[in-house]
Amino acid sequence: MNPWPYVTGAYLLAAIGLLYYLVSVSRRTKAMTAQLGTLKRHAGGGAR
Amino acid sequence: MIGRGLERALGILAVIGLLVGLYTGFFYAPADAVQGEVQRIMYLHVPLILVSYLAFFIVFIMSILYLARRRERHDAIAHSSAEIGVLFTALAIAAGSIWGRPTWGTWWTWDARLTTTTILLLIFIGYLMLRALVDDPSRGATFSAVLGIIGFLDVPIIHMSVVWWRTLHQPASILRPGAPTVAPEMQVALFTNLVAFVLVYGYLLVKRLRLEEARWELNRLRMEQVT
Amino acid sequence: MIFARRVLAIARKDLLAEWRDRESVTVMFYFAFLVLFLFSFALGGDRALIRGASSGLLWLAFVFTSALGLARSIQGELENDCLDGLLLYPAQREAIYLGKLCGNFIMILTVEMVIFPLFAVLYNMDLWSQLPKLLLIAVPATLGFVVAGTLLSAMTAGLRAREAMLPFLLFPLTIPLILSAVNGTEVVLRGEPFRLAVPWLKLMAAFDLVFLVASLLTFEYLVEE
Repeated sequence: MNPWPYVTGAYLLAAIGLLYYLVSVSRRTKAMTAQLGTLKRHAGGGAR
Repeated sequence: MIGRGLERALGILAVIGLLVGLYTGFFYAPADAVQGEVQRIMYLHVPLILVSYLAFFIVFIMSILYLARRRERHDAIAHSSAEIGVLFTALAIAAGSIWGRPTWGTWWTWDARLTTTTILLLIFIGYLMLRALVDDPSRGATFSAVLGIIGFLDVPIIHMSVVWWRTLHQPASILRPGAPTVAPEMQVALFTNLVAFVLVYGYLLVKRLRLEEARWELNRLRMEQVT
Repeated sequence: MIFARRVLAIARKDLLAEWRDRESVTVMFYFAFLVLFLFSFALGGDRALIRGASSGLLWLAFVFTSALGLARSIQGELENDCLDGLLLYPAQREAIYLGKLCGNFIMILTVEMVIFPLFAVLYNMDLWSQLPKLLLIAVPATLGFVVAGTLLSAMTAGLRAREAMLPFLLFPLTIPLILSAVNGTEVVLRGEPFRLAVPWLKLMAAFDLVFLVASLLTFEYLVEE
């Protein structure tokens, strides 16, 4: 029985999982920062 | 706000740690006498589990702190740590399952540790669901803090009950997916990978914290605009 | 003691309200009956299989039914803003929690007492002689379930997905209770010496204590404004 498919499978799965999460956090942060930017601009405009 | 410098530093350290860990796991440590090369999955599975316990412990501490002090930072860390903890637990279970298939012949076994870990996963998936469903941020933070506390307190009780349950129903020939006889090189590999994954956790936590703090700021701004 | 009187007042309010139309207990009883009835089909009518699984089936039925009862109980507080009224009342928050706890506990235990004979009939088991021992198992299990469930129902009552969220949160947390109850009941039903059930009783006692203390400490945060 060849062990390597299992070993690489496990490590690959972990790598994909971690990278996917990293991308997810980056994407969400980008979206949030954009929202923040829009709100701040409007707040600045309203205060005037 | 968390400094970008810290984030970058942790990221670099994490990558270095992972590379060192891969080296010790695949080259420095010998193959197991009984299980062969498949046993190398342990250097992934065990650190992931241990770090996820760390993550949930931090959720526990931060939850208590939040209820006591009501500082957004504590809630932010709790939420972030819970998310990462769930990720690591899920990956740990998956890796363990893949390890189990060639070793015990099955993808799943109702082993005490595996069962307890899965229950832990379920509890904190519930935590994340609760978070997603509560609209008011401070209410969500409070509710989650309570859940984070009782969830973590429950873990030793769950562990005991599952262990007793398994000793009752375990067949005579026990297929233990346990730690194989751990040679010193294996201990080194295990330790280096553990450090590596703690660094990964730290990096992900810092990154996730930015998102959480941005969210709190968004809420603050929205509140100001309303008033 | 003022505190004790307030707890009893709240429990009494719940039980009186329930007694008026007995709607919740009826719904719960009927649901438990349906679950037990369906299990027989799920297990293909296999007598031996059912006998072997009977403790598990009984407690699964209780678990689902209790979740139903807990959800209905807190729902009553949110409708007509009863909870807000209660909060205006100069009682400590813990009294509200304990009062709801007692009310829920009595209601659910009552339903269980009615289900036991039904279970005995459906699955042809002799429970009457074992009743005291069965109660010894059922009471701490139900208590623990209601301790955690009352706390969590306060958390989930206002949510969009409330029907799903209470079970999602409650069931994983109460697995030690379910395990203990099922194994303890097994010991009794198989006529084994009761001391075999004692470890499970201890586990349930530990759970009940830990969760009671934790709930008393944290409930006020759940209902504050």
